[in-house]
Amino acid sequence: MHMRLLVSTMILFAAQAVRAQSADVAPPQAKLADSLRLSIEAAADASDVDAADAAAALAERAVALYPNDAMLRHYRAYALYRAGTMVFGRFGSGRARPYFDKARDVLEQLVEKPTIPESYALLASVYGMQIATAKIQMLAGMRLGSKSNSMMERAVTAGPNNPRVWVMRGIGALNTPSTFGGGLDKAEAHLKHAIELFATDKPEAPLPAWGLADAHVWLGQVYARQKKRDAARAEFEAARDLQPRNAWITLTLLPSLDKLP
Amino acid sequence: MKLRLVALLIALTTSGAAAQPVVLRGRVYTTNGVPVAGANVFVVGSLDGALTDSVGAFRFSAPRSASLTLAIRRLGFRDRQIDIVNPARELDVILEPEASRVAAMNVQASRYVAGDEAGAALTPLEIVTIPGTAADVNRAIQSLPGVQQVDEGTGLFVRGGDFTETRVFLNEGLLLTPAQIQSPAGTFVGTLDPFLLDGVYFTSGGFGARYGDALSAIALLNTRSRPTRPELTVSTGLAAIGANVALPGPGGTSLALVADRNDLTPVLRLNGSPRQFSTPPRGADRTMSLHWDYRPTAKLSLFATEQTGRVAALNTTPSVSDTFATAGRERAVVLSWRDVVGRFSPGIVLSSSAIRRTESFGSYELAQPQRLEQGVMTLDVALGDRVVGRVGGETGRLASHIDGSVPASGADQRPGSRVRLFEVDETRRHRATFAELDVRPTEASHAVIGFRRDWSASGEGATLDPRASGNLRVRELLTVTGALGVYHQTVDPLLETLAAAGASLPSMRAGHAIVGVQIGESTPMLRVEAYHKRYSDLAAQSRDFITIGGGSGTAGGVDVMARAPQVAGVSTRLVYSYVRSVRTDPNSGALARAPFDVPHNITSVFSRSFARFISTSASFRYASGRPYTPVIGATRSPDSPTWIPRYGAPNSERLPAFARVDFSASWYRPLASHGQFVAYVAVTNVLDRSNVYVRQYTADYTSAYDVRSIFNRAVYFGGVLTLTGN
Repeated sequence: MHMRLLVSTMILFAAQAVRAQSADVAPPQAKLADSLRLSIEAAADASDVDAADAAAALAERAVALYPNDAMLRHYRAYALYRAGTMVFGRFGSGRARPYFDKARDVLEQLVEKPTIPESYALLASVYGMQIATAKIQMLAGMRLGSKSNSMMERAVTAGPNNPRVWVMRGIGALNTPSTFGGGLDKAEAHLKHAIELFATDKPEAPLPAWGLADAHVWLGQVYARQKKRDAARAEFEAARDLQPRNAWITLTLLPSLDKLP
Repeated sequence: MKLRLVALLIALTTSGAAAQPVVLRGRVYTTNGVPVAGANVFVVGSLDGALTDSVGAFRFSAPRSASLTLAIRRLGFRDRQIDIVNPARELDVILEPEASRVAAMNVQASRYVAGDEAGAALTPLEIVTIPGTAADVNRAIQSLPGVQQVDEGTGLFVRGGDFTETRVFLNEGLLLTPAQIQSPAGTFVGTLDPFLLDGVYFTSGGFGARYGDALSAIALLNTRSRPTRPELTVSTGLAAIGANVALPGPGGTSLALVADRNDLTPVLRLNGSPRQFSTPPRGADRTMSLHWDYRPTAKLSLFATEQTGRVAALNTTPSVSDTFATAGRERAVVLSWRDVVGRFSPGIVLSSSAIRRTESFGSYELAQPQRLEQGVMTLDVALGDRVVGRVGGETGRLASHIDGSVPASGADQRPGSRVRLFEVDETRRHRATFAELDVRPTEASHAVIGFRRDWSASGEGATLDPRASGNLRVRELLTVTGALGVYHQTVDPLLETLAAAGASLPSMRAGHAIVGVQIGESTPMLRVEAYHKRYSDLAAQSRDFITIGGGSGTAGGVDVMARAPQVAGVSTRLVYSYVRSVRTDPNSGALARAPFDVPHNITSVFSRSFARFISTSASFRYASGRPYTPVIGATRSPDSPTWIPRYGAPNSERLPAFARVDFSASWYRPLASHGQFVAYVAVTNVLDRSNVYVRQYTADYTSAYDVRSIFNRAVYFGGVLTLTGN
């Protein structure tokens, strides 16, 4: 009797310990990933380079603490990508290049094993930014262009209904000539498809949840290039409603429409 | 019970101490003492950490622990970990630049990069801070391996070749490189402001098939890419004032304007000079640069520059005293376009380069305008992940003119009152095709194989130049390089007109063979290269101004470059070049030392930073004396009052060796987040050594005298203010 009671008590305690353990071990990484996600998105919303750098630094510490956690590694690369694009816009290619080099290193290791579709799409975009910031763009374009395309195909295969994949595909199409699978029409179609997919997009934390504002921003730029001023303004205003602190939208993109013929 | 109480007290004390946080603080620097901002400093195994601020400082608290290990990481630098022994002590952390795997494969035979790339031989900052270079690009290139210190000028004499055998390209457009001023102290050629440039690629031999009509070397100057923020730079110094405005525009456009004026009068007043100048050296530069990056992979740029300069000095020799004056105007316009369309990368460069120089010696005046127009088209095709094919063609036209005149009567200098003694007009057309295969079989190997075919209106038929170069990373920090190729250069059209009647002057030819090894990347680093060059069909001018063709020769040597780790905070860069160069002497027809055979060249640069914002540099340069042909006697001309010299063996004597020590110091002051101010002072020729550049003779050749440096010890100072917008 005493023995039964003892075993029952031990099992009860062990179960509680396992629950506690799963609450203590998995959640810290998941919570960390989620707080990283929020801090990167906050930095992106405000187009704040210092905040993006701080998020990338926190992600680096997190990966040093949990080196095998795929989600933390994804967010480290994503933080570097976001910080790199902001640094590129503000300081030019020389200072931005190391961010994309490091993001590529992290992602190329990450995609060796099956991972979330956003990681493939992010790597495709990082290749694109490496081309844009390369010292000799023609060589980088020729070496990385095909890699970027095939990685984007892999992202679409892994997540055909993932709106962030379609956002990044749309951005890529905008910077690729129509004769090589890109162009304004393709970019418009991809970005519109992404916005449709966002309507049913309910990712659970800590999965990536960004992208709707980006889709509106880039679709607005597609319309601006097509000289559709009103359509572009509607997209930029939709993006501003989602990210009211984003100076790029309020101070650059919206005023730029006034110069359209 | 008592023991339990003690144990409990110890436990409580210990846990209390563990809970009490410790404050960690310090600064992070580069190996050169420059603060590293944005470094991630954190306690290993925790999320506790901070980013360094603009002066490299960090401060954060972490739970106290028996052992604390700090990680310090920054993109572009090697990761560091430090065990903290005394958390209360402020830490000074040095980060070393990361050895990039891409940079290693940028090591190519005889190619040196000055730019932001990892592994660059010179950074833009070094170009402007090497003492004695006066922020001149050519003088900075002279501090690289393989360039001989033949005189005090800015000509690039490379691996036993003449300065006319080195070609300079601006944004891939060929520039004229005639001498702007050929003074007794040296050959001065036009160069650019280093602040206009993003990178300089200097190749002392073994270069690819894209570049032709160069027997020795090429220098590729790339102008700054599109600025992303408005920037204003104002610089002023003892002899110069200048301003530089860069404005980013909408839709990927930008505009940059640069204007400089220089006048050496204050420098000469302050420091004195052995020469008497009636017009001290003065000049002006105006530059405009337009960019349109209409999509991320595309670049369209227009660069236009005009430089003017003049100088007049009293030329006093034991036999004669007259005035030497020269004035020049140089213009260059380069329009370049490059894009990437999938696997293809087309590019077009259209360039026009013109120079007008007049020189007067007493009443005699020599005018030499030249104009070069060139168009180049290239197409790169990615034939796979590791193979790029390149084909292209170029066409060009060089128009040269020379005329000499004297006043028709007395010293009448009015326009139209001169008698033209001679006048030569030459126009030469030229075209070429080239093809190259750029292969990277593995991450650790790289080879470029190609050929070039040139047609010129002069010379005899077309020339064919096969060329190959490769490099192999044998180990992590050990790269071996090699290159083999044939190079042709057409004879200057004006020299052609001076050839003996009926003489044929085909393109001059050189074969290059180079092997090298590099150990390490940025610092420490050792690079050694050995080379051999064999010449044929060389053309040179004799003492009687007749161009003699059919010459031959060889050049061989070793170039060494080393960067040493810091010792007592001092960084050291050492360059040594040995060359042995022989060519057919145009006067005697015998093989003799080439006129620019300067066997030993040493350049060493030492730099140290103090108190974070002060940096100092000192350089020492040494070169063997250049060879000259001695006069061993003279006979009086029977029908004139002149003496006819009798010469010794060609280039059998040497001038005294050249040596010079220069020093510079600068003080850097950041201005909040929107600018910076740099004040500098430079002392050139610190030891006040009077170097000899030419040995000349009196009219009867009974005694020799030396032409010496224009400057003795000289002090120069100035400041540069840079303001940057958001």
